[in-house]
Amino acid sequence: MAVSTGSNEMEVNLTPLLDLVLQLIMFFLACLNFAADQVSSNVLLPLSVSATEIQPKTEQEYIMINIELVRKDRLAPNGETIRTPDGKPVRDPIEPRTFKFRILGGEDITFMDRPDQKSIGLGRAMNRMKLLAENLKLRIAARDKVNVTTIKELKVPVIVRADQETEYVMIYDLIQQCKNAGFQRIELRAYSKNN
Amino acid sequence: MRRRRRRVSHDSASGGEFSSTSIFVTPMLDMAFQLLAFFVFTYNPTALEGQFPISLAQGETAGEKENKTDDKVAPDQPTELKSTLFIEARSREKGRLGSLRVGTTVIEPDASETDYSTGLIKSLGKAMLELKKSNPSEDRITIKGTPTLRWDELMKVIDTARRHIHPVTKERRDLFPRISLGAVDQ
Repeated sequence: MAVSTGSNEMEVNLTPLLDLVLQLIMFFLACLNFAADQVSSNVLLPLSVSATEIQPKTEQEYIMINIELVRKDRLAPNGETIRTPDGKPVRDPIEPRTFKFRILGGEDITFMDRPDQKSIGLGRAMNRMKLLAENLKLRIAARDKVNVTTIKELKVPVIVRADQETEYVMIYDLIQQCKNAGFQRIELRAYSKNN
Repeated sequence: MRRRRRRVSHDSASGGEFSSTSIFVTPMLDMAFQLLAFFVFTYNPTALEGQFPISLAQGETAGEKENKTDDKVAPDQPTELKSTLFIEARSREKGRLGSLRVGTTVIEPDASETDYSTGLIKSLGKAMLELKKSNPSEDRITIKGTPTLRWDELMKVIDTARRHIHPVTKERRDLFPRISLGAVDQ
């Protein structure tokens, strides 16, 4: 109830309200899970001088396999993060070494670097790729009105982002599974190095 | 709009010669600061990524024989490959690069490098140039690695096989840009 007495008018101060609204917007933005973005920023890729620039959005669809070795920042005795000359924190693998696979749409597959766990983790990742391939084939079959068994090759590229300390056998087995499942295009990601 | 009108009437009522309108900049400024803070806190410069296609070496995938007879086979599918055009990379402890073989030739590490792996890569660079000279029309090579080899070590081998960078002029030259991956037992 605004009461006006003569020329003295009451004004509603909108500024705190605006602040609150913006704070809320920030909160939701910060909590937003970028589900559409398949890239895991925690993966420390190897360096490559021959990797070519990624063409922006040439593909409508792609499947990203992130193979992350879980790492933590290296700390100096005074508790500060040790950084490389270019300002990036030095990150060491945690012990016991733990791998995390992140493949489109599925839950993270986390396992420790022990032979028994590794084979289970790799097996789950392979099943995921097989499932993705089957789903894609069904979708293509429905779209093109063809029998699903006639689709042998999938044009959707599979992009592999693997940690630089990953053992080759993991990457190789996964790629082999992708090929067997019908994915014909495999791309490898690396940090570009200019010299 | 309401505010503006009110302010105008207030000014004229107080006898001001010019009726002034004012815009409240404070909320706008607040918003700008909030946005600024948001972008400052979320700024995370990631290193530039690049990528390249690979395929698997012959006989490594199921259904390969079907592909070979198919006319519509993709250009990056394995074709007849000279048996000498392969690199075999073996690992030593901690997945480091232990030995390299190009065809039947064993690569000896370059003596000028103190680091064993770096020396191997340097020698491999020279061997790749020679290989390209003797096979100028080939653009594909198979790289086989042992299971425990580290990914970044293999990436160095892939890099050396794909492109040669002149040490002084930094001139880049493609050697074998199409890479097939294969596996070899430990």
